[in-house]
Amino acid sequence: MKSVIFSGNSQLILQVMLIISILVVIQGHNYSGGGFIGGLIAASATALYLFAFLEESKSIIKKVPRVIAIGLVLMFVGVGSALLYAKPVASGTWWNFSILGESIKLGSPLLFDFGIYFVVFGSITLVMTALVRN
Amino acid sequence: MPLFALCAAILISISVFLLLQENIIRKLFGTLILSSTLSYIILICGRLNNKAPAFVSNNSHNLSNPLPQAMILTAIVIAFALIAYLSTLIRQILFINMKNSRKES
Amino acid sequence: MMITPTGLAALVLCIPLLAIIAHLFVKNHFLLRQIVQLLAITSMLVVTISLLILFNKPIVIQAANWPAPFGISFVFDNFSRFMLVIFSIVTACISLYSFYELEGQKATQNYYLGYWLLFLGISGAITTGDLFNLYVWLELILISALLLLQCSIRNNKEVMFNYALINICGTLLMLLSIALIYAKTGTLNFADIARHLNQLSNDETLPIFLLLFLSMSLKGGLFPFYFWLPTSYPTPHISCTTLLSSLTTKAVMLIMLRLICLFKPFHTVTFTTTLVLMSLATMLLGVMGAAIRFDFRKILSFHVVSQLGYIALGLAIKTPLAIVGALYFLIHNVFTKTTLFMVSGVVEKSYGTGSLNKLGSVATRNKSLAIVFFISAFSLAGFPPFSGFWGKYILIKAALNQHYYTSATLMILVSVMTLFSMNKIWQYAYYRSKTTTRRVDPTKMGYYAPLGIGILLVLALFMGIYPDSILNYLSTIAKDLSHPTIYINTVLIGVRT
Repeated sequence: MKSVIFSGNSQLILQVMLIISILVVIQGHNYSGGGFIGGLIAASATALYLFAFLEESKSIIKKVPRVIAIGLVLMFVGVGSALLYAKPVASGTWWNFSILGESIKLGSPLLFDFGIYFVVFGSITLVMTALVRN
Repeated sequence: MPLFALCAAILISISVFLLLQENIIRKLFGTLILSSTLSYIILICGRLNNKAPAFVSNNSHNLSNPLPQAMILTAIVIAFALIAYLSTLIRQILFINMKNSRKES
Repeated sequence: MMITPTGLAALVLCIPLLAIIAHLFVKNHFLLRQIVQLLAITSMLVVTISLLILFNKPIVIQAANWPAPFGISFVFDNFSRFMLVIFSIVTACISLYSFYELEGQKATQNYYLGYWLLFLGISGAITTGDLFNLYVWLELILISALLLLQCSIRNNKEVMFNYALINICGTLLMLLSIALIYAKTGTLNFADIARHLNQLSNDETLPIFLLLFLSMSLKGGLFPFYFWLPTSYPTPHISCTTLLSSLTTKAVMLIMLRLICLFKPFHTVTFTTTLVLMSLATMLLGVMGAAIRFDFRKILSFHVVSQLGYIALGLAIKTPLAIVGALYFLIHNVFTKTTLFMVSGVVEKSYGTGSLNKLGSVATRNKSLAIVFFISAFSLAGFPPFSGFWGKYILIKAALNQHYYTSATLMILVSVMTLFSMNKIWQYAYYRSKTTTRRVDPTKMGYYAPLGIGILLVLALFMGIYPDSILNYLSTIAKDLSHPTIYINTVLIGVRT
C-alpha cells in the first residue's frame, strides 16, 4: 500500500506537528500544555510518517532508545541542577540570557519538560513500532 | 453526589465483570475501564465545584483544587504505559498460540 | 559546591538514574556494561553507608523546597537508611552474580536497565513520605519487574501476563484507597494523615485502611493473594529471581511496617486479628506448597511465601521486640534466600537441570557448593548457630510475651517443615549418589559468582554468630518506629498544628 498523497502529506504534517509540539512544551510552564502532551503530539506525527515510509525508516527506529537516553539526561540535569546551588532536589533554578538585546529567562523546569518530551516521544514511538512489527 | 457514586459503582462492576472473563482481551478492557474509573473517583474525591482553574487565571481567590488533576495526570500516564505494555504482551501471546496451533494441525 | 546532608541523600535517587542513562548508551558491549555496573554499585554502596555512618539525625528532603504537607517529602531516618544499606549490599552481590550468569546471553541486554529501575523504585518507595508518591514508586517497581521478566522469559508469556494483570489490579486498588483517604483526610503526606486520623474515629476510617492494606498485601504476596508469586519466580534467570525475591516483596513489607506503625486504624483489634490470620495462613500454605514440589527453585519460591508470613506476623504483633524480630528476620531472609537461589542457579547451570529427580551427588563433586548450601539451608530452617535461629527466636518470644500461643506453636511447626523440604533438597540433589546426571561445564565458575555468594554467606554467618552487632541498631529503629510522633515531628517541622 503505497499512496503518493499519503506519503507526501505525511511529510508536511510531520513538520507542522513537530513545530506545534515544541510550542506546546514551551508554553506549558504557564498555560495548558507541557512535556507529556508535546511528546504525544510529536509521537503521533512520527507514527504517521512511519506508516508512510515503513521500509525506509527501519534504520531510524533502531536509534529511538537514544532519544529516551537524551531525554533522561535532560531530566536529570533539570532535577539535579538544584544540587549545585545547594538547594533541595527539583527546586527550580533560573538563568538569564540576553540574545540580541532581548533578555530571555531559561530555567531548569524547561529542561525537565524537554526531557519528558523526549522520553515520551521515544517510548511511544518504540511501543508503536513494536505493535506494527511483523 | 450519590449519582456520582452510583456511576462509579456501575463502572467498577463492569470492569470487575470484564476482569473475571476468560478471554485475555476482555481482561485488558477490564483494566482499561478500571483505571479510567479510578481517575473519575479521584476527581470526585477532590471535591467537585465551579471554581476557576488554578495556575491558569491570574485572580488569586476562589481557585479550584489542582491536586486531583495532578494525581489523575500521573495515574493516566502510568495506566497508559501499562496498558500499552499489556497490549503488546497479549499480541505476543496470541502470536505464540497461533504458531503452536498451526504446528499441531 | 558543598555536600549537604540533603544533597548526599538525594544522590541515593540520582545514582540509579545516572546508571540507567549510562546503560542506555552502552547496551551492546558486555565489558562496558560490567564497568558501568561496578562503578554504579560501588558509588551506591559508598553513598548509602556514608549516609548511615555520618549522620545520626533523620534527613528530610522537601522536594523543590515546598513545605511538608504540600510538597513531597523524602524521609531518610535510621530505618530507611539502614534498609538502603542492606539492599545495596544485596544488589551489589546480585550484580556480581549476574556477570557470571548473563555472560554471552544477548537477549538479556535490558537486564541492567530493569535492575537500576527496580533499585530506583525501591529506594524511592522506602524513603518517600507521601502516599500518592508511594503509589508511583510501586508502579515503577512493577514496571521494572516486568522488564526483568521480559528479558529472561522467552516462551512462557502467560506467566508474565498473570503477573502483570494481578499486580496492576493491586496498584489500582491501592489508588482507590488513596483517593478515599484523600477524600477523608484532605492530605497525602504520611505524617499529616497520621495527625488528621487522631481526630477521626476508627469506625469511619478502618474500611479504607483495610482496602489499602489488602492492596499492599496483594503486592507483598500474603495469604489469599500469594498465588502469583511462586508461579512467576522459577521461570526467569536467577539474577532476575533473586532481585525480585529480595527486593520487591520485602520492600512492600517495609512500607507496610511504616504505615502500620503510623496510622491509627491499623492499631485496632480487627486489623490485628486479620493480619495474624493472614500471616499464619501464608506461613503454612507456603511451606506446604514447598513440601510437595520436586524442583530446586520451585521449593525455594514457595519458601519465599512462607517467610513473608513470619515477617507479617512480626508486623501484626507490633511490639518493639516483634518489630526487631521482623526486621532481623527480613535481613536474614534477604541474605540467606539470595544465597540459596544463587546456589540453585550454579547447580542448574552446571548440571543442566533443577529437577530433584534428575540431580544427584552434587556434594561429592562440588564440595564448596555443598557447604554453602548446607549453611544457608540450615540457617533458613532456624538452627542455633546461624542467623535464622535468632530471627525466629525473637519472633516467638515476642509472640509469647503478647500471649499469641497458637502463633508461636505454628511458627515452630513451620520451621520443622522448612527443615523437611531443605532436607529433601539435600538428600536428593546433594547426598544421593547418582552419576547419570549430565554435567555441562565442569568447574567454570570464574570469580564473580563465588565472590557474590561468599560476601552474602559471610554476612549471614556474622549475623548469626554475633547478632548483637545489628540487634542494638535494630532496637533503636524499632523504638523510633513504635512512637509515631517522632516521625510526625521530623517531617512536619515548623508546621502549625
